[in-house]
Amino acid sequence: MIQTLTLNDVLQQFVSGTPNIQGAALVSSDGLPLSSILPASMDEERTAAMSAAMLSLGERIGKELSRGVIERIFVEGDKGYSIMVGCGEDIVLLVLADKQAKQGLLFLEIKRITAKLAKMVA
Amino acid sequence: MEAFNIAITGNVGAGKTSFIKTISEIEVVSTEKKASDEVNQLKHNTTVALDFGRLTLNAEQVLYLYGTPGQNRFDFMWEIIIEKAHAYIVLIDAHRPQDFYNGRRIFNFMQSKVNLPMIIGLTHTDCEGAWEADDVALALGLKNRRRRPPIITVNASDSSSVANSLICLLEQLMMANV
Amino acid sequence: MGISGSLQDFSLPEILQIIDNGSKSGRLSITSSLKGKALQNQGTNDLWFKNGNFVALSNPFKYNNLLSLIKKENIISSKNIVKLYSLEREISIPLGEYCLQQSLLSVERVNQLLENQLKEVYSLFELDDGWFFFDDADSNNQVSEPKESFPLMEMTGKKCDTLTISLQGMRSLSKLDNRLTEQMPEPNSGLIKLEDNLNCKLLPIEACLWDDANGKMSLKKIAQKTLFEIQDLQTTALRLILIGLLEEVPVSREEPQTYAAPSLERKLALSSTNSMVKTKSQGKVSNSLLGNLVDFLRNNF
Repeated sequence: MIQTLTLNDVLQQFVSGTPNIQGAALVSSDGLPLSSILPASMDEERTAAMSAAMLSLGERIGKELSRGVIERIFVEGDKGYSIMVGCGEDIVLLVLADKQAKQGLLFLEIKRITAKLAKMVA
Repeated sequence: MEAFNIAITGNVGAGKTSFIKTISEIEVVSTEKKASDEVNQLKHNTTVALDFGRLTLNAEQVLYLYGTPGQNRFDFMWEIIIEKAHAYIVLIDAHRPQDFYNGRRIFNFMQSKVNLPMIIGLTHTDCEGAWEADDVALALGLKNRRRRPPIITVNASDSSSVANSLICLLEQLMMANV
Repeated sequence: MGISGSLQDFSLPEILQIIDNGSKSGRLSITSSLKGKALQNQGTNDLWFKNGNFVALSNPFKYNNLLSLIKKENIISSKNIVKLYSLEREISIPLGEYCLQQSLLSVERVNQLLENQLKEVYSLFELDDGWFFFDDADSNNQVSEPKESFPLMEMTGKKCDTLTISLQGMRSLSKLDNRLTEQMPEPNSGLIKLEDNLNCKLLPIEACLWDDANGKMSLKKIAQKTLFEIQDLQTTALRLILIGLLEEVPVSREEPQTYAAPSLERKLALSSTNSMVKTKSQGKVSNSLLGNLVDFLRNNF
């Protein structure tokens, strides 16, 4: 219980403390939500399942098409970005950012938070 | 190139991934992940996006097999896969009555999305506590014996059994094509 | 032949639904587990069905249950009661029917006896742990494990349809256990009817769901329209789903109006762009492919 709280706290800090970030979710690689700060319109369970499906497909592409280890999946839409990254073993981090987000900065912030979260879930 | 797409759907642990692995000529592109919920009591890995297998008939014709994840939370994948399918098979584990309700959900979901030839494949029928086809049909809400899809027994790890179930599905398709 | 399983996996209304839909005849044994919460239901109860209708309740450890019910009513002389007890071996019609024939009981009394049996059946809905086994009756009206015929001494000669039992049983259920609530329909889901006509009377909240079970209205929408609480609608819907009256169906999340025929609209959309060939192959597979595939499968596996 204590662990869930802190994970949630870290995600909360990340979402509210980083400009242009609209939400984040930590999910198991088989698509179950662990912790999330998401816009109210998004269903946590569904979002979790989608993130896991997407990252697993990406990993498959990395392997079959010889792209090596996948660093991130990046989905760019005209309203913003969704980024999925592996976060320690068997865990996926989803980050939602708006269109104003600077990509370089975004990736840097994600790298930081991933390292932090990976330590916590290990 | 003419492609024929079959979707393999059904309950968690019913044998969708095995079914495709058994018959595919290529190493199956699968997206199995370690199960972290109660599913891991049933099996270690679970499909999270899709499984993909292929059978090449000749230079012009090919069969593609797409397997869906079993859990409800992946229903967006069910939708993505079934939209491209020409026919589908719902696999139901005959000795896990606790899963029939979910099987029924998947079946209804597919029926609400597409009107395609389909069959129901019963797996694990040789296990203790396995239900008879007629009773599984009733549990799936298929009351009318004469108007229900064919229900056949499949051993998902036996290639001739898998081939037979595909032939049964093809017969459905041929009837629909006439 | 038969069906069996754990009550944790398969609830009583779901079993009854199968008996009803299959118009089954036979004996449904419900055995409560020792840790089951409903103490008065310890042990095994046998529910008997003929062509999908409930006809008797018996208990391997409680002989002459129906007779003791009759005795309790205190309307038959003790001499006649003794006579009835001695019938056991020779009776060829249900006990209730026999009493009617001998003018020992009125039709109303016999109906009341059935009601009393049903009350015991309703209490079985409270069981959340235990086992069930439905043993199909053979052509001689016998079940096999253990071999037994329909228990005429426990039969009123009246029947009750399974749907009514399920509906009453689910209504009388104080709390839905965890496994059942896992099947709770989502607020975004719609409902469809599984029966065309209803012979039983519905409560107002049930009637609301029934009326709007058209596959297009989500539970959320029904809540907005009727002012019932969404949670109440969900649990009532679950009860009606479990007894096989309604079924949960997805209502398209974004545009509800596309629900009716998504695949057709998609095909039309595709055919209006320049991808006719693709659409064609999408819709139909050539007979040549099907034929080749059948040959391929026959020859190679």
